[in-house]
Amino acid sequence: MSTEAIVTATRARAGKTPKRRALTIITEIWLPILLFAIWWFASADSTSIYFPSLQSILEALGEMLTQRFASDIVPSLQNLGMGLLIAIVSGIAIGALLGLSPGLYRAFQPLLEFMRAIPGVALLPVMLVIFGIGSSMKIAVIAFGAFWPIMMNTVDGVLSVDGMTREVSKSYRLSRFDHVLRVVLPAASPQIISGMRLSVSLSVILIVASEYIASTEGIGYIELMSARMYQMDTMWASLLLLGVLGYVANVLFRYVEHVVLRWHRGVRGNTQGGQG
Amino acid sequence: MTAAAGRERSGGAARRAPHRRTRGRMSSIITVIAALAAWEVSSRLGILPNSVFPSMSQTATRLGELLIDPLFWAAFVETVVSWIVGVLIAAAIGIPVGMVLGRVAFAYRSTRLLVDFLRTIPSIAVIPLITLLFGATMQMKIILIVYGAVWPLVLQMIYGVRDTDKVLVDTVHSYKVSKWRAAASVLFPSALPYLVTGMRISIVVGLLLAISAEMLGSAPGIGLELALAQTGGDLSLTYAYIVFIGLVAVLVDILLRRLSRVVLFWHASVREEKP
Repeated sequence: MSTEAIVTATRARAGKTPKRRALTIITEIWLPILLFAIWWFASADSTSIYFPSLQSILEALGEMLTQRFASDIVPSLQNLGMGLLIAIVSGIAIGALLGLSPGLYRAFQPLLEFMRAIPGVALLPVMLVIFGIGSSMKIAVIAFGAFWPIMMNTVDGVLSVDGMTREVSKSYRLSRFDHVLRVVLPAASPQIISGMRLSVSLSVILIVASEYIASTEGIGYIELMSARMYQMDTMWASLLLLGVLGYVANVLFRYVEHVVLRWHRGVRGNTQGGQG
Repeated sequence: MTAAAGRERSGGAARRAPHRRTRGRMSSIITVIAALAAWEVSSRLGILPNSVFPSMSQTATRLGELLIDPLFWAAFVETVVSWIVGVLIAAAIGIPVGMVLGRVAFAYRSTRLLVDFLRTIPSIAVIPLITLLFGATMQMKIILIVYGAVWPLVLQMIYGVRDTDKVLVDTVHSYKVSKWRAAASVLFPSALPYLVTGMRISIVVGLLLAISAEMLGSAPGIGLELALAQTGGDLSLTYAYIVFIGLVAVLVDILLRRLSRVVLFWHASVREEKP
């Protein structure tokens, strides 16, 4: 598909009449709103300890957001960001190195496949012994778990850079550094990004898991503690908050992906665009 | 999916050059042996502190002991049963739901936000809730696995059904083929490659969640044994469990890759071999 064709297609899509756009929005949100209303009214005078009223859940959520923001929510996000950052930097660096030297990659492949296959959650006990209770242990678990998808996808992306591109950059006498930074990594970026997308959802899981097992702070910690003390409204509130967190992380990432890979869709047409 | 495709491609390149493949295999065997030796030597020399890293030989001995322990296998069976049952239930729910959502545009648009939200809740986060509701039981584990493993299947089925050849869909329409038959003999086969990907993800997620539910929710299984080994301060046993879990996961990954090639031989071969 040519670039012009895509441009006209997007224009056509953007140029929908306001009426149709309103209809689209309504079809997208009627069910969530309905379910929310059902939940609200069905639970309004609930006496079950497990299923408190939605109103009290939302109140607990408000309380959590105002009173425990700095003490629990910020540390969770910090550890998440830190672990993810380490995973991204080291994953791309090591992935590029292995992708550029296939012999090395082949030699290490079984070892890497084994390490990758170990679920991050299973490493929690060991990380606890190595790092003790604290944020470094959580960061280590996240970094370890999130590293593999990025690293493996970087290798795949680098390996799939076609020979022609390599030859061209050689004949322009690009330095090895420039070749990697300006040719190989951009060409591999679609794969790297799809690895990162996996890593983002993985790291949200791992932060929650690490806050369950040994922690004194964090959203997962609040959730577990309130469940143990049968404060079910706080428990539901933290569950909702984790859901929102996961959702926002996903939406943010989709936006980043959209911006970073804009050139890619333009060059290749929208053959790979169906996954969004 | 791109990752899998890339790996398959490099596999094809290796097939074309047999001597290169054996050399690759030799070098990887040497690397594994070297890594194991490095582990042993550095823990003997005290480079890896013994308080946190047991030596390779200790771990291997404990793993060997585990493998002949019937109690260990009983725990493993607990894990495997919940894993299989959970994934099967997830498939029984996810495949038809995904097909309907992929086919009926209104249903797809109405549920899009909901599905997006529910699947991004980190599945582990429901452990405290379902542990309260169902206790530390097999049932709790299965519910967690179903919840986590159903989304990849739903999504892949949606993509697969929507990717069906439009001409094929129109043909089915003009021949007035019944809905059930169209679903069974047109939509399902054309979505099969997507379904295979979805199953692969679900199976891996299922194992992860079974172990998580055991470790974090104390349901019986190897995850619980692993957590108990650590709280009991038995470090080499802890490592033995982790190595075992890693080996199981690798084995599953290899099996699934083989299996998906067998299931999709008509599809992959047709599409890949064409110049």
